[in-house]
Formats: sequence, structure tokens, C-alpha cells
Amino acid sequence: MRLLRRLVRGEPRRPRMILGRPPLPLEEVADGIGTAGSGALPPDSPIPDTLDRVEQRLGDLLGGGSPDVILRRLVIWTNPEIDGLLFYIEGLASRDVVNLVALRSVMLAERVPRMDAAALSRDNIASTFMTHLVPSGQISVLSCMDRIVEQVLTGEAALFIEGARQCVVFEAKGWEHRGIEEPHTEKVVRGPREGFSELLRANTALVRRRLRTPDLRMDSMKVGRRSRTDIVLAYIDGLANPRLVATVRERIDHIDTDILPDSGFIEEFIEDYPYSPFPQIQYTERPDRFCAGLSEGLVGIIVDGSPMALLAPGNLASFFQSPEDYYERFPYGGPLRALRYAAGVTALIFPALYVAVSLFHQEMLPTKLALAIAGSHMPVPFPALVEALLMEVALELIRESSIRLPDPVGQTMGFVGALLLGDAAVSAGLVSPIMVIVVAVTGLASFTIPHYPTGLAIRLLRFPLLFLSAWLGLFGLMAGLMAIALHLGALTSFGVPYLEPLMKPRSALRDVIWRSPVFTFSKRPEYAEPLDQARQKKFIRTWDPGVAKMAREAGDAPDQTGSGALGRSEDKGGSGDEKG
Amino acid sequence: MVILTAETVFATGFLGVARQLVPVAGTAAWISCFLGAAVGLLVAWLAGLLAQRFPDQNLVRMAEGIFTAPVGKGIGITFTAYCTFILAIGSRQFVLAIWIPFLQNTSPVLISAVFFLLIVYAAYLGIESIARVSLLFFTVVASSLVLLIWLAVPVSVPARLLPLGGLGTVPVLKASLLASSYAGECIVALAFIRHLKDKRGAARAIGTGAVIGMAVMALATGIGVMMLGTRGISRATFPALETARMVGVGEFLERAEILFLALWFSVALLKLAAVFYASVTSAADVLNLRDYRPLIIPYAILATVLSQIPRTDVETFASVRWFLTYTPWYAAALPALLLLGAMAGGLRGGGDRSGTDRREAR
Repeated sequence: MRLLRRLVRGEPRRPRMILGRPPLPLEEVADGIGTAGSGALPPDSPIPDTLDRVEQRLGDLLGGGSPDVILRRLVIWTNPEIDGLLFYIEGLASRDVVNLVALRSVMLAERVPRMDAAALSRDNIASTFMTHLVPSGQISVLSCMDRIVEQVLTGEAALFIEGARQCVVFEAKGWEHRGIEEPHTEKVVRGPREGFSELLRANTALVRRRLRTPDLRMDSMKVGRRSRTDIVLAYIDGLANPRLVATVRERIDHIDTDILPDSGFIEEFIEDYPYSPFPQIQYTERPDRFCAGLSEGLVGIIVDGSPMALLAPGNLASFFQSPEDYYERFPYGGPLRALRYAAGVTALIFPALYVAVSLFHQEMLPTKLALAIAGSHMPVPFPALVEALLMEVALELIRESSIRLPDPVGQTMGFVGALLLGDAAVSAGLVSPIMVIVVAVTGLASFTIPHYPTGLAIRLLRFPLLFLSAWLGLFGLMAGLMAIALHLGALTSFGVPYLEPLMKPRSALRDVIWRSPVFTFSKRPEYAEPLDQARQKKFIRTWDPGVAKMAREAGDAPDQTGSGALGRSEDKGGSGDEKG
Repeated sequence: MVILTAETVFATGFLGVARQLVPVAGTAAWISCFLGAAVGLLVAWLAGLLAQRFPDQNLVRMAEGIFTAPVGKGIGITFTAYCTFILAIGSRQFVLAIWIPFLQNTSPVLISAVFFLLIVYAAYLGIESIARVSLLFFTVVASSLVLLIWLAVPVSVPARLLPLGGLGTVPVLKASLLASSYAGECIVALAFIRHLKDKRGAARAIGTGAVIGMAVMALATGIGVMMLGTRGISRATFPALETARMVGVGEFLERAEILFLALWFSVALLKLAAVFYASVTSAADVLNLRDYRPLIIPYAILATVLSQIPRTDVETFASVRWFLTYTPWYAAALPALLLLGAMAGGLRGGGDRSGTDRREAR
């Protein structure tokens, strides 16, 4: 009624209290977000005339009591005497670099050239010092205080000069960081062991090292009004569809938020359907996978401070692919991938199928199995649904707790928890042994899904399917599956249908559900609409007489003719590969 | 479009097609299915010609352009009524197939409600989503049919298909007229033609779909006769389901018919969703609505209520028989009438797109 009265009178809705704290008036909140705090600078704020004022200004901006903000006075020229002020953040800037670049070269006057002091003016003194005194690779002259502060907060160092309108800013990044380690979430038996880290430059270097094409573009962007997080938009020029690149850039440009702690934030901001349980953007901490994505015409996003790089667009099939599918020989890669799809379906429906069959359709089962199920369920006081829910919730608890614990303890906790809990639950008559088997198989199946959020989506959707099965049997399960399928059918990622690769039977069998030999991948996947479709020559193994014959018939003359290794003769016939 | 049309033709009818055709044509009922496909091909050819003349228009706008607006709206209303009939009867048949053998403790109204809830969701998402999922599930259902045939071969009696001519030429032709009604359901594709990229391929796509759909019907009928015989079929409520009941997967799944039915349910649902979408968009065009979505809920309620009118399975099959007898003429006459009108008026449609089209395009 109150709401109705308010609507009739046109009163604004009062903001809700959150945890007993009165909310800020909207104007205050807006002000707080819109500026960089009390010491915020107007755009294009100039450098004050004297170093004292510069020092005072920086103190105002960054708080005088911050022990990591280093402001050091020094004499940078003796004839005439010119004072300087070195400004950097301890911990972000490497002390070694600062010492080497600024203090040693300036104070000890190493390599100081002869200069005409009279020629120095307020306008050119900074550029003169930049050219002659500071031996750094990345160096610039800035005249805007907010830009200088911004740069210093990213780990650079600034040298203010008495009376100068400009300031020399040089590269000094050197904070402590994690080294390049093996990816934690995408481990492989065979393949590179390098993983992205939290350091943006290290990550871009890992990509550059693998993709040495000059067409690799890494466009820099900044997101977060307070965090000013660096983002790199990576793509291969002439390969990635420009519309896709523009769309990704536009969506990132639209992000207007305070801080950006991880690439997960970006994902939610830019995906097409944020309320869907299914992820729509791929993420990876493997540079090799990232580069493979770029080479298929995808657009990559690397966020400073996040070891997870994003690849857009994503689709359902991409979340079931593992890099190892390609590193292992194809006779193993294909079946393993098909097994993963089967495991995905098992993880989604197996408990629901068991509940539906045991509650509604016992006639399906052979008599012995039906009797075994009935016998095992006899001492259990709960219906199959409650039994399944108990075990599923227990499994989720074990999984969550083992993830949060340190690695060795977590693994032990997982095993011990599963064994003890299952055994104890059966002994206590709370669940039947068959239900333990069903839930264990489901858990194992869900672990095979390489993309963690996809596994989470499946774990989440398993519960409504359980309820539907308990309500309407197999019909309910099928109704739930149809709802999920229709939802997937409507999903898109950057305009690309989520089920796109599965829609084309030929490509689906080549590199979606199955994995064909790499030498048959003559074209790139079409879903990202790359500008250049051809990935490699159609006939590569032309040293094989059979393939050479096929190539000749197709009008694609082989580069090499004659026998292959180990004296394989022409008339021996080919293996018949590369037909695709 | 091929898959969507094929599903529209066979998805709900193949459960009981043998029951309708075998009493008329005897052992040659499966041949009637192939003969009935001719109507589907005729409709496909006419629809293809219409698509070339009016590439970006749907049925109601075409009819309004060819004739006058009131006549066009009248044609739209008949098309909506035709689709509504398919929707009500098709859903009722499937609900009975689920309810009678498997969920007798559950109210059929509840099963219908779940059915229509999913249809509403599918229609809300749009025809593209339905088409994509159709493509996926058609593969699954086709595999299930192949599996069914494979399992049925050891227990079937091919001699039951003799005599090949059935009860004679005239009964076979009569049965093919009934079968042509199933094939004629491909006329629903007229509502989706504008979504096709290549309008010149419309006739081929619809025709192929109709032939595939009728081939599935023929297969279901032929296997049914081989498994149950003509007498057994006339006693079975849903011969395809009875056939599935008689096969087993080794010694593991003894009565797998519920599994088959669950898979067939998926294509039935997609077919009905496509028909629902066709009727609701046509109704929106008749009412000159920019968006069809406001009509979804009222129309779903109407269709649910209509599907409850035949109370018993006997009444349901009587309604199906009535539909099969009278609607092939409508399916063939509607595109023919539009085409003749267009040819007489020398009309060739432009890129005028209706409100629904605009909404869909967004």
C-alpha cells in the first residue's frame, strides 16, 4: 500500500538500508565516485612553479603520511645550480632502476655533457635533461600533474626540475611479482608449462614470443576511475574481423567503474547475456591457448593484475576443448574430447536420470538391477530426491572446502571427505550405496570439463533437473533439458551464436566434437568470421606418394616429389590422409 | 529450413500415423506416406515461387499486397486457425502418449501446461533459437530412429508387409490423401521463409524437408506393420510407441520406449514451438502489432484450453482424422491462391517488412 501511495503521489523511492548503515545521499555518492578523492586535480593541471609547491601539491594529492611515497630533493646541475625532485613509489618502482637512472647519472654527473646553461629555459630544460641525462628506454616529458601522478602510480618515476614547466617521467617498474609458473587451472601432461602471471608486460611478452608476426596488435586501454587498470586488447590485424575488434573495444570503452580487480569483472561487463549461467567469453592462463585463439581471429583481452586472459567470442564447444587435445596425437585427442562431451552430459543429467528411473520408470531396468536398487534403498528413510540432494550438497561442500585449503591438505581433505562421508552415510542408512556411486560418477564427470565456469554452470543446473525428474520423471528431465537447449540456442557471444560450431556437422566432426589430424585443418573456424580463412595448405604431407597423387589430382602440385623418409617408394600407395 | 520443415511434418504425427493409415490401406500404408509426400512437394514448389516474388514478406503481408488488406487479414486468420488446430491436436496427442503409459498419477492438464510453458519460452526466444536447437535434436532423434530400426530388425517379421499392394490401389490412394495432410503441414514454413538467406533455395529446402518428414512417417509405419501386423496396429493407441516397447537394448534396458519417447518429445516440442511462433506472428500481423510477444501468453492459454477439448483418446483421434481429411486442400490451395493472385495482378513484392519483421530484425 505504501508503495502504491508513493507511486500515486509521485514520491521518490527511499533508498534501502544496507546492513544498518544509512546510505549516502545520491549526490554525495556521485561526487565520491566521480573524482579521485579530495585532492583530485582538474584536467590539464599544470606543474607548479617551484619544487616546494610541487612537493606540497603531491603531498596534498597522495597524503603526506604515506611512507611509500618517496619525494627526494637532489641537485641535478651545479653550474648553475639546479635542484630537482625525484618522485616515485617505493615498492612499485625498482630501487635499483631509480638509483641507476636518476641518482647515479644525475648526482654523480656521470656522462654529463657540456651544456650551455644560458640556453636552458623553463620550457626546454626538461627535454634537455631527458635527452642527455636519464639513460632509460621508456622516457617521456609530461606537463600535466594528473598524468604524472597517474604514471608514477603505475610504477614509473618522475623527475621534477626547479622552474621547469615539464617533468621527466621514466620507466622504473620493478615491483615484486610472481614468476612465470605452470598454469594452475589448465594443466596438461604434454605441452608448454608457462602460464600467465599478474604482470601485464610479462604476459604481453609471452604472447609476443609466440606470435612474432608484425600484424599482432596490442592496443592499450585503461579502465577503472580509481584503479586505472591497464588493459591490452590483442588481435592479429588482417585476420581478426574489424567489426569484432570494434565491438570489443566499444564495450570496454563503456565500462565506467571504480576499480577493476580482475579480468572476471571485464567479462561480466562486456558479455551479451550476463544473467545466463553459461560463460560466453573464454578465459585462459595459458599463453599457447591465447595465441591459438588469436590465430583463429579471436580478440584477446589481457588485464594487468590478472593471470587470466580473455578471448572473445566464446561458444559452447570452445569450453570443452583442452590444449592437450592438439598436443597429443589425434587418435587420442579425438576420443578424449568426445569423452569430455559425454562427461558433460553425465555431469548434468546422471543424478536426475537415476531419480527419474528409480521413482517413475523402474520397468526400464532389468529385474536384477531393479531389485538391487530397491534392496539398497530399503533401509534409507528418504525418497530418492532427498537422498540425491543430500549427497550432491555433500559433494559440493567437499569440493568447495578442498579448493579453499592448501594443495596437499585440500587433496587429502577431498579423498578423506568423500570416502568417509560416503561410507558413513551408507552405514548410517542415510543414503543407498548406488546413490553414492551415482554422485561419485557425476563428480568425476564434472571434473573432466576443462573450463571451470562451464563446470559450475553444469553443477548449478543439475539441481533444477533433479527436481523436475522427481516431479515428472523422464518427461520432466527432458523438459528441463529442452529449456536449457533453447536457452543455449538463443545465446550469443558478441553476436556469434553460442551453438554455432555445433550447427555445422562437417566442422563439428572435424574439430568440435572430435579432433581430426592437424594437417587437415586447412581452414580456420568460421564462427569468428576471420578475414583470412586459409590456415594452411590443403596438402602438406606431399612427401607421401598417396597425398602427392591427391594433390596433383586437385591441381595443387606438391612441392616435393619422390620417396619419403626411409626410402618409401612411389608405387607403395598413400596412407589416404589429408582427404579433408 | 530443411530440418525445421521435416520436424514440422513428422514430429507429432509419426506416433500415430500407422493407426490412421493402416486401416485404410492395409500393408501398403507405408507406400501411402511416400505418395502423400507429393502434396508436400507441391506446397514447397508454390512456396518457393512465392518466396522469389515476395522475398522479404511473410504470409499476411503477402496476402494483403496481392489482394486487399481485409482479404489479406482474413487469409491470415485462416492460417492462424490452421496452426492453432495443429498445435492443439499435436500437443494433445503427445500429452496422451506421455500420460497414458507413463504418468497416470499426474494430471494431463499439468503435463499440457508444462508443454506449453516450454513452447512459450521457445516462442519468446524466437525462431532462430528454435531452428538451432532443432538442428541439434534432429540428429539425436534421427540416431534414435536408426537405433530403433536396428533393434527392431531381429524381432520384426518382414512378411507382414505382404501383400505389397495392401488393400488395393484405391485404398492406397485414399490413405495417401490422409498422409498428404501431414506433408501439407510444411505450409507452416511460409511464416519463416523471409528468414532464409537464399530465397531461391526455399522450394528445395521445404521440399526436401517434406520428403524427409514423410520418409520418417513411412519408416514408422513400415516398421510398425512388420512388428505388430495390421491387426496389432489397429489395436494400438500409438503404434510407434508399441514398436519401441517391443525392442530392448541387450539385456540392460528391457523396456526402452520411455527413452525413445523422451527423445521424440524434444522434436515434438520444437515442431509445436515453430507452429506456435508461426501462428502468433501471423496473428500479430493481422492485428498490425509491431511485436508478437504480447500475444504469446494469451495465445498459449487459448491453445492449452483448446487442447483439452478432446477429453478421451478416442475423441482425440477423431479430431486427428477430421484434420487429416480436410486440411490437405487448404495446404495446397493457400499458396496456389496467393500465387495465382500475384500472377494475375503482376505483383512482385519489394522489401516492405512488417512490424513483426522489424522487431525480429532488432
